[in-house]
Amino acid sequence: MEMSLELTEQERDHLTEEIASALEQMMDLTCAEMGPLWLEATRQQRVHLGTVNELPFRPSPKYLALNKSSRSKYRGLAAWRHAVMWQDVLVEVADGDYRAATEAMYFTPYPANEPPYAWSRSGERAPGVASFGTATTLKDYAKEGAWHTVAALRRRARELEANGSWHFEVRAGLVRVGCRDSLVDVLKLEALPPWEDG
Amino acid sequence: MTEDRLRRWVLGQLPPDERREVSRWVVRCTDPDLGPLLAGMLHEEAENRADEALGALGRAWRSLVEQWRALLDAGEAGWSGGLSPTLATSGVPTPVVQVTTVGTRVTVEVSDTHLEVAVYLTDDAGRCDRLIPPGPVHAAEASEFVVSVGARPTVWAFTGLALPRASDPVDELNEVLRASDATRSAVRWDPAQG
Repeated sequence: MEMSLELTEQERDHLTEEIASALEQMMDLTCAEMGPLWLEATRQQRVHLGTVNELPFRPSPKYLALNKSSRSKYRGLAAWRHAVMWQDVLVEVADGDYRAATEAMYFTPYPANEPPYAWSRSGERAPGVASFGTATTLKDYAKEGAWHTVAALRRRARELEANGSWHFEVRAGLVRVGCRDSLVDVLKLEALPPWEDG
Repeated sequence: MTEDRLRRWVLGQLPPDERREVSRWVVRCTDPDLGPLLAGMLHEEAENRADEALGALGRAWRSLVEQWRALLDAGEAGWSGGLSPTLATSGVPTPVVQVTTVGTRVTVEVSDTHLEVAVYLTDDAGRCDRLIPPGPVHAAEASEFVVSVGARPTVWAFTGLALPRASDPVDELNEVLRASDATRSAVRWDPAQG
């Protein structure tokens, strides 16, 4: 199928609105820090939406100097969280306990700038840990839930790519950023679900 | 778009409509400095909050020391002296704290369940070299501390204030003590006499 090389303005607006909504949702349900990390993770994919190539002002050097450079793995975490919100794949985690644990660990607000930017290493402090008995149970369940969301995102990316239009290709690109292989480390998974042939 | 508007966006300080407008803008902005800029803004805010918290802690601590000075002014009346001194301050119900010493044991009891007490032991020279325990003694609890034989500690008990929670406020206390005559009038318990 022949693909249009550019999004129409209407497609661009619609997609931007969806993504902006998911971005706000992710920042509200995790922490503000995820916003900048997601922007860093998806810059290449957002070129297709972009109308602003450069900031319209010179950023204060003090802010740029305050940025931590050693956060690359958390960009993947932000991209995954955004994709989960945007594609609404938590509902595809069939087991209610796994879904609830994933929500508690990864989609519950926590203070910004509080490493490791996830509850994965400090499950005992995670919101709702009491309902899972122990932090270990919560972590194990959350990992299972996270695995299923990655599987769902990979299926979604394949479906979008199969659609064969540039509009869906751009969507698929953004979903793919949210389920990259590097997630295996940050989500503490033994392995990620395989990509199905598409 | 302005830097200040982006700062308010990432700090969640914009009303919903304006927030969405900026969200759409950032989604479409591919300047590589955008992410680091926003992250830096968050870090600045976190540092400001930490500074404010430290400032509040410092103010609370100074207030604590001021109250202790006032307590020392009334020291002789406040402490009954001897081995079982009772601490009283003008602004706190009496008795609040019972400090009992037997041999090398110092027992602190708090009688008012609405208060917390922090106990510090200073050495003979008035230096606060130990903080026991590293936090407040909770009301209605008795805590016992054992000091070494030959030590000449002073029991410092602070009540009725927002107690300092810093892990090590000792340096600041030392600084205040050095600059103060308060040490001279501190009630001192001498285990050798006990």
